[in-house]
Amino acid sequence: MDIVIAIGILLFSLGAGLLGSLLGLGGGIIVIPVLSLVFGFPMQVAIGASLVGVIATSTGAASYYVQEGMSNIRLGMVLETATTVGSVIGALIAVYTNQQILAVAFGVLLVYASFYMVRRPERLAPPREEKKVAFVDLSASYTDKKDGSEVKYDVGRLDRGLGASLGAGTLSGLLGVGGGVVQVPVMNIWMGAPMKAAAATSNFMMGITALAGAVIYYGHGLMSPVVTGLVAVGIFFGAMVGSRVAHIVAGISLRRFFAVVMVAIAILMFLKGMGVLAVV
Amino acid sequence: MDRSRLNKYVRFVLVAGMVLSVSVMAIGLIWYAISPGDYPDVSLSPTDIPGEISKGNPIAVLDLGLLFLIATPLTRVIAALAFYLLDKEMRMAGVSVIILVVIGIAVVLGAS
Repeated sequence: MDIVIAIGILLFSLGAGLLGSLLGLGGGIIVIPVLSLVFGFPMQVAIGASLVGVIATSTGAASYYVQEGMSNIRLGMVLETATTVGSVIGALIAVYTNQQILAVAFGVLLVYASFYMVRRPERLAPPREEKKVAFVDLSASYTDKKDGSEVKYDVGRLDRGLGASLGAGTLSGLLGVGGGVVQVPVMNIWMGAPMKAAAATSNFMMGITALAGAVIYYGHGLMSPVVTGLVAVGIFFGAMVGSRVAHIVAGISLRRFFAVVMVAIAILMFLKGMGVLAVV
Repeated sequence: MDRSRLNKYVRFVLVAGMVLSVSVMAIGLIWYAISPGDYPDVSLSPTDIPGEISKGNPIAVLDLGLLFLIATPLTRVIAALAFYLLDKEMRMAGVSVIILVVIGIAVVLGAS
């Protein structure tokens, strides 16, 4: 690989990791269109590289959240039984799918993610309906750093959570993203976990979800070691910097600006999918 | 189950795996950049990696880092399984086993 292209991929991945953590999205949603549209890699290679990037960022973020007690490990592992199955299904579909269809599907995801990023639906109070008794105790607590209070919560609607997790996993394996755009609102709005715990638990889960899909891409020879290494290292260090400066620069105006950028990228992905746009 | 103990060990696995894998991949990328040979950017079979590293193939180093990274979340599931078994939390141990079985199926499907 040409050294200029390698440096370009590394820099874009650093930027994707940085922006991803500032915007509350994984770096994959940014790096996949860049690899596909700017560098001309097949969608499957871009998705495989992104999945490894998701594992790297999830591992880094989860180690922090687990230490802080924010990730609900039990809830995460129960839902992982569904996300891993979904991820394998999604990856198998992607491996045998025309990359133009994948480009269109990714465009749809970008449009949804841009709306999600601006709206950020959040349930502040626990759900009113009577909770079903789960087969294991999934209640947890954490200390809110904002005011030092201990937040205790229980979760319900495990059936819905597992169903949505299957969908989130399929999305992850199919399009190379972490699945947090589905998983976080589901855990918060449907299952009743506080937003902070839902986000931390989603981060914890992404690693194993992405792993299930990544193994399929690796086995089918769709993982380029150099591209994947550049993306993983770039996104990892970008996310590290992003998490440290997020409180300084993150804001609704930044999210709105990038929501518009993501819709523009979605249009390019649609054009690529329809064969109008080849490679920039 | 002492949840803080589980958190502590899961965190250790995640941090160790993250440092190891990202370091190995970074070394592989530097090695690839300064290496005079022209190596095809294609993943090697895991069994070929040790031999290729001894021959100085930077792609093998990158593949090794990739495998370390992929193994990290898997290792934390195994660590959690061990804790649940020790604590006789058979339902959560069962959950851990289901995840490992799905990953095992993915490996088989990927290899076939």
